[in-house]
Amino acid sequence: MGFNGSETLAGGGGAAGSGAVAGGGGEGPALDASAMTALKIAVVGPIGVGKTTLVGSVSEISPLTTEETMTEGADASDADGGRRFPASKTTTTVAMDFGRISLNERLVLYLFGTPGQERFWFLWDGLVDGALGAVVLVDVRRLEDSFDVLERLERRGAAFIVAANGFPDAPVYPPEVLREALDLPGSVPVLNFDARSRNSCRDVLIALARYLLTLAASPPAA
Amino acid sequence: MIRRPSHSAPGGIGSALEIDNALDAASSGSGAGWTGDPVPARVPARAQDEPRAAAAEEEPGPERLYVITGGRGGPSDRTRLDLVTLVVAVAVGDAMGPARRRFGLFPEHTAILRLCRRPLSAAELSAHLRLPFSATAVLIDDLLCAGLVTVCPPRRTALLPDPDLIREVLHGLQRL
Repeated sequence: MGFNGSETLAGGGGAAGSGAVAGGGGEGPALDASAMTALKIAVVGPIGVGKTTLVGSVSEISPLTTEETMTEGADASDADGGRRFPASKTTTTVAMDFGRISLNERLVLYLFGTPGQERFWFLWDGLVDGALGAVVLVDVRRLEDSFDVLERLERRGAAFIVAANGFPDAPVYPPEVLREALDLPGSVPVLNFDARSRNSCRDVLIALARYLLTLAASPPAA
Repeated sequence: MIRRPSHSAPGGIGSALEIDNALDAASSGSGAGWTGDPVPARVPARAQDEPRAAAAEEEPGPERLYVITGGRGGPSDRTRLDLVTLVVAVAVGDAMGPARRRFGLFPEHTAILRLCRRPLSAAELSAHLRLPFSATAVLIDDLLCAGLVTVCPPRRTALLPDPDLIREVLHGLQRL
């Protein structure tokens, strides 16, 4: 399964070339001029689990893609004068799809779909840190693909909920069964949803917000 | 359904190896020889990928990236740009031309100024310009230093978000 095919919907529609973008935000409604506070939520899970579908279902803009290059460790190559050509063979590129929801005239929420594999986790420093929280997407037919992601979030102490995308040919398990299979404490919300349904995706985000509110109201013992 | 083991082994060392493999695959151009998960490098276009692939051809190559960033890998230390840092152009209006000459702006800089007449996140700018995020951050930093844009850093929520903020988010979501 190709990375682009499964994870990256055609971002900007292909019409907006470099430097040739008309003003006003490119596509979709422009942000309110009074928009002042941006928040982000990470949507994490393995390839093909429905991250971009979820983002696209609730976003007010077509999902966009931002890329980042990963450069290999610290520069030990000062022999060449310390100047390194970008995108040399020591870099690789990872794409993240994202969407946007204007919550009110000053508050805007961004949703970032992040591949769950370990080699993409370097992206998370800029994403999970400082995010409101995370939605971990799971496919019940390959639950084990999400174990590492859960582990990682737990170790970071990040707030997350788990949402199982209801693929048509997949069995549906009650949330309690999923919670037990995922070895999650009872406090972590687990729910079934349909990534293609705007209302269903909205309910997932609402579940995360409610969970965050309970965490804020009763902070866990330090 | 497979049960998650209560204490699954952390994969610290494995990750470094995987990154090496990914790098090797990326350096070989099309990822030939990589037999694991798909490498996040450009993959050959398939039918449904055509809009994306066509756009990819317009993306600036490494030489252009090197020119516009001056070889810088990221913004200066004092500017910490987040994916969702909102960027707004300072109203320059007709002064765009003089500003371009005075500050030696590249077309990519002026594209950012055009896009940011209304607030726009750094991630969106990166997407619209089809530039890597780090290169976009360098350009935003240039404009910030020139006083041509202002930025609103995102709310850092730390581990415990502000309940009032979460209530505002909740109300906003419930209106969707």
